[in-house]
Formats: sequence, structure tokens, C-alpha cells
Amino acid sequence: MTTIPDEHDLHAYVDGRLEGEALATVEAWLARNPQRAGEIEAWRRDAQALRATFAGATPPPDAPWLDPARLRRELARRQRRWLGLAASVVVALGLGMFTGWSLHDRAATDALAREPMADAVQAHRMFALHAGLRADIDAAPGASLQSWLATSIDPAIRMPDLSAAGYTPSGGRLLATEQGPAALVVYRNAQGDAISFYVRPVGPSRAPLADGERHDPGLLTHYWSAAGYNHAMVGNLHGDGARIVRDLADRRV
Amino acid sequence: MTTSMPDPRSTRELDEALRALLPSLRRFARWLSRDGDAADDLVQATLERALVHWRQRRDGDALRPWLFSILYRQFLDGKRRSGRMASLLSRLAPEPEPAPSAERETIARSSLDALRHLTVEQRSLLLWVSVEGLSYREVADILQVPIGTVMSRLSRARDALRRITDGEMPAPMLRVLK
Repeated sequence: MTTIPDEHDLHAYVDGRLEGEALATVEAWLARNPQRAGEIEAWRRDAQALRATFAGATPPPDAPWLDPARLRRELARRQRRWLGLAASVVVALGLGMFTGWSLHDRAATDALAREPMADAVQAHRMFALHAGLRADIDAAPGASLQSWLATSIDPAIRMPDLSAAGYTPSGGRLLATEQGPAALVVYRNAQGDAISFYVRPVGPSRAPLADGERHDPGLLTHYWSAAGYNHAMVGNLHGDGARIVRDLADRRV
Repeated sequence: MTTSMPDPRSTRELDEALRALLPSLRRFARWLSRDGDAADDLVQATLERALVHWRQRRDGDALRPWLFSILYRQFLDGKRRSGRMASLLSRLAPEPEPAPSAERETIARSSLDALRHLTVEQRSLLLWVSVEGLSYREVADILQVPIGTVMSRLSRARDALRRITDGEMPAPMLRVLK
């Protein structure tokens, strides 16, 4: 009896994937169909030649940059950088939403919205109060954050020294603002409470700020202008943050 | 010929599995693009995609055919993009000469150059089935077609290869057999 093998069986025969009865059936059929057998045999030879060619090919030169572990690290690095950028955008968006909302609810918040240095408050909320966001630079012993400020913003800027109050610099973060690059330095005490020092250019069209204070829920901010830059210190009302910010303001005067 | 590999459970296991498949992927990429640098870019893009998405792949997808399918799609997407770019450029300036890569090594220089007359899908089919030993089911999953369609396309690919090696084109592969 004659079973005509289907396409699947013929390919499986070429690829050596048939055995037992199925193999015998195809072989028997090919023996009775010499023309088709010749074609199938040629397919088989081509496949062999293809394998031989690949087997004999010179292997490509080493490519260490294709190592999966290395690619994984590189991907993680790119993602962190992207998250950093996204966080800066969030600060900008947050400010925009804040302003929009104030305009809407004018009676309650108009005065607050017009008070300057809302960006300092936002930055403090984002980076000092949410510990999850990575700093651009972590404090190392000595003056490294001071020199980071000098090179990233301006050598004239001096970080306040809060060590007498038990606060030491823990990290710094660069931010993009409408007025130019801004920097945030977060100080922490032994309990992890945060005080922020924020500095950014005054901006081309704006007059320097008079010294002042702004009050946001839970926060006290003191701000002033010096040498073309607006400065702000932001402390929390609970704990000693607000008192230290005020002390510092008194000493400046 | 088909190697079945346990599904990697940790990132370290996945890295090891990917490392083991790297030669196959580079071979396939060179078989498609014929330019060593472009081929390795293709492999890099494939691995990056695999690292990001491997947890989202359908249950039971074996790693190897899954990687082949990513590479295959990346290559087709790139071809479409460069095709659009080429037609844009041709309207702006005379046809740019393809820059000869310093690394058109191995396959490109070898006798297999004649096989560029095969379509991308035919080349892929022949490599997957004849060289890499993927099952017909796995190939059907990569191409997202029924298994019967794989069979008829494989017949056409083998006939096309036959015509190339059988004198219609220079018969380069016979040398290999000697």
C-alpha cells in the first residue's frame, strides 16, 4: 500500500527528524519516485553544505561589550540617569501645577504663590523629604560638596556650616530651573531630619530678592540674594529645623 | 540538535544562558546583515530588549527561539527604517555609496555571498531549521504563522537555495563539500 508523505514528513526526512515507521514509509515512497527522491536528496545536500559552511566560518572577533552582565549594568545606569532627569521634570511640573492651582483658588493662596522661592520648597520636598531619590553627589568627608557647588554653579557660593547644630551635608543635587542651573544641598542630623540649602541664578529679568521668609505647610523658608544668586534655607517646623534656619538668618544680618 | 535549556530563574542564570547563546545570535545577525558592525549592533539591541522584557514573554516560550524572533524583528524594523531613509536621501542627493566596513569578515567574504538573493525570511528559515535545529513548531511561533505555512515556505526556501547552488547562480557551496 502507498502512503504519500506530506510536506512535513519530507522536510523532517531532510532534517533527520524521522525515525521508525515514519522514516521507513518515506524511504519506501522515495524509492518508487526517483525524480522526487533526487530533489529531496539535493535539499539534504544543501542543508549539509550550509551547516558545513557555518561550521567552517571564522568566528567573529571577541565582543566584550556584548556580555549580558555588562549590558545589564549599562542599562541600569542609563535608567538611573533617566529617572534623575524625570525627577527634575517633576519638580518643574509640580511648580506649574502649584501655580495653576493657586490662581484657581486665589483668595487663599495668592499671597503664597507670589512669595518667591517656591522652587526651593519643591526641591526640598522632592529630595530631602523623600529619601528614595538619589543624590547626584554623596557627601564625602571634607569639603567635597563645597567644591562640587563651586564647579557646578559658581565658585563664589558658600555653603553654610550647620555642624554646630548637629547637621552635616549628606548629598547634593543639580536641578534645571527657568533661571538656570540650581543646586540643592541636603543636611541631616543624627536623627535623619533634613535642612536644605538651595541656590539658583536670580535670572535676567528679575531684581534681587529682599531678605524674607515664606511659610508652607510644615516648612519654614528663609531666602535672600547675593552675588547674582537667590539663596534659600528650608527647615521643617517640627523638630529644630525652623529654629536653625532662623538662627542662620539672624547671623547673616 | 535541539538543546533544551531549563528556564533561567535568576538574573545570573539568565546572563549565563544569554552568554551561551551569544555565538548563535551573532551568527544569525551576520547571516542577515552581512556587515559585522551592524550585526553586533543588532545583537546588542536584541540582548537589551531581552534583558528588559524577558519576564513578560509568553509562558513557555523557550529562550532561544524567543531571542531569534526578537533579532529577526529588530532587523526587519531596521530595514524598513533604512529603506525609508534611503528613499528620502535619493530624493535629496545621488545614491550614497555604502561605506565599506572594515569588518565585512567571514560570511560576507565567503561563498555564501551569493545567498543574498534569498529573501530575509528564506535565509532565516534555512538557518533556523538546517543550522540551529529549531523545531518547526518553534519556527511557526517566531513567524506567527500556522505550521503548515512554515512547511510550504520552507519548501520554497529550499527550492530557491537549490536554484542558487545548482548553476543558475555560481555554485559556491559545492566547494565546501569537497
